[in-house]
Amino acid sequence: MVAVNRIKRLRGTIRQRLANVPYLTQKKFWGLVFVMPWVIGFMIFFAYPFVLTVYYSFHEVELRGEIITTFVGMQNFINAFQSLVIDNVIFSRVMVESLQDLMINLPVVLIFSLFIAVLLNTEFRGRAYVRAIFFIPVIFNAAAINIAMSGQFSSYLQASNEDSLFQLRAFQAFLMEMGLGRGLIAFLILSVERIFTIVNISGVQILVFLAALQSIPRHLYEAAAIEGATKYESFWKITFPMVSPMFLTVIVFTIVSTFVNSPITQFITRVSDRFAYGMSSALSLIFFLMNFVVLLIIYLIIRKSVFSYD
Amino acid sequence: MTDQKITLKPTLRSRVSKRFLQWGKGMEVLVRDPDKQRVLASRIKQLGLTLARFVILFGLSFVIVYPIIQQVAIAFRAPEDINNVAVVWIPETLSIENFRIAMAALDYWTAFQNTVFLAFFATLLQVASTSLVGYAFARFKFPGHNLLFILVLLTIIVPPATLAFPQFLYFRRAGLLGQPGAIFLMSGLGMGINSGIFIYLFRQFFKGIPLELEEAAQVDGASAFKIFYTVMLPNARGAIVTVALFAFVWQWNDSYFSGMFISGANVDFPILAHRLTTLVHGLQGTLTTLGIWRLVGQDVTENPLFVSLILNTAGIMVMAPLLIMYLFVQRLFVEGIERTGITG
Repeated sequence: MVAVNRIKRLRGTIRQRLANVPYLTQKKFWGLVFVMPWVIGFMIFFAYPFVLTVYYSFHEVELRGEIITTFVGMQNFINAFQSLVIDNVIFSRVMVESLQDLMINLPVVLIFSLFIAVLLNTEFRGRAYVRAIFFIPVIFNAAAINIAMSGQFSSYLQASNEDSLFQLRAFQAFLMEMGLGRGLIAFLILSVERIFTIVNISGVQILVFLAALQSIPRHLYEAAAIEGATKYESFWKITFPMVSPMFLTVIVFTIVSTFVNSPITQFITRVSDRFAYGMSSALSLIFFLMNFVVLLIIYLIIRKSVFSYD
Repeated sequence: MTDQKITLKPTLRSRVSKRFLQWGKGMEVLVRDPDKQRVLASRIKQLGLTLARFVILFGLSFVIVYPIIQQVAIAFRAPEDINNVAVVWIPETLSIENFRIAMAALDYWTAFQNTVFLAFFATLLQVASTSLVGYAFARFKFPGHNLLFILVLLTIIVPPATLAFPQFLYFRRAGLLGQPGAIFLMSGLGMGINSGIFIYLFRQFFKGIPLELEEAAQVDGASAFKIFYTVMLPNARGAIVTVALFAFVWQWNDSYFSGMFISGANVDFPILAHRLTTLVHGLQGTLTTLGIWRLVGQDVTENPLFVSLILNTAGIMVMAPLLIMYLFVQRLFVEGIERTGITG
């Protein structure tokens, strides 16, 4: 009973003290209190581990009960590009390939998801169902499905319906007969093969664009229509600039969502499975820098061309 | 009005609609009035667009749904029918043998309970921590808030692999390795899976709520915490639903963190997604120890396709709870993100 009274009195005094503090200072104080859990988490789970990773990447690290490090300078980084081979895979090759993949996927995902969002934003019967289907990939475990579908399973699928491959050939032959160029055919075939991947990685991006489309004020379109603009024109003059601030969000998400399933991450895991922790730290640092540079370049390109209210 | 010849031409640019026009030649003779012609033209154009949209959306929906249907159809096939060419879609002998084997291999019930437990509490903690931080960034101009927000963005773009090893050492030293507490701690401190994105989302959302609401509460003498709980959170239902759904789904699907910090280090705490990824490498061994080799004939179990059949079934079983959940909440997914106003 006494304790409760004491706490009550304490709360009272704190309140009185706070009442004398100016409003803005109070807000600063509460802001700091609110972010405090995050700051602690950041320090423990981000800042310090990051510094440690940088530190380890210049060292040979052994884990024998406790951590033993010997300084090796840039050796890990040099080895990573010169002589590191795990399971017959060269690191630089994995890196180049995943960069290449990213460079192809990024623009395709961007255009595709915007296009689908525009389609899903129009009124038509059964829209709710189509939307529900399009967001199934959002909840799908791409990693698990890919693993289950790759290797043995894909051969199994082919065994169970070999005709799908055959159909692709027929499609190719059909395009040849239409007299299209070789390059164009190769592109079409490649995109048909990729479409499964693209659809499955652009669920969230479609959602983001859809949200952006819904927030465009209707009156802009009405004004444009009265001025005699066609749908095509109003897409490029209204829709495109209004959703352009979302491009960076979508690009960042597209890159971020590939982190965990990236072949580079798998490579790093394999390296640390061999207890080469110094090397794996160096590799993960290279991985981070690579993504950082890609994002920086994209940011610099996009920054100027994006519409903003200010 | 004079006999005008086809004035439709300039309004119809696309080839498709021209075709439609030729096809409806009778109509041209019938429709002489230019106004009506224009109406007809736009109708035809509309029809063409609708058709194109239908073809594209239907085709892509097919691309999404087809593999799922196929997987399910294959899963119900009897193990003996693996190589049966006559069986394409509908299994000849309906069998749940695959499910039984996959359940045993996944250690399904334990793993399922663990995953639900982990995902549920991690989601709660994520929502609590990220909403608090997002609110702080949206409304309080405390010293260094810009710098701190840049750091939030930094946490988004740093790959988990970069931090994994030191974090692993942490948990080992703290004795949390192999405990769900490891994930809970990270989620509770706003460093869980994709927490940075959630913080960003909440910040954008809270920025969109009118200031007057808060000021009214402020004048009435409510403290900052009270305003947050009684005014801001109830208004943020859309953002909360969105974040909760994504946090749950991503936690459910995560095999990287939970594999490394929990079930990779502790066999007694299996997680579905991690279990599935490890099955890929060691299914044969698992099946042998479980004695399934003896249940099904040897000619079946030696077939490499049998392994992929079981893997496929296991994959379905891991995803099934999410898919069923999705059936009920898919509306929230779309509506939630539309209302969050992440566009600012």
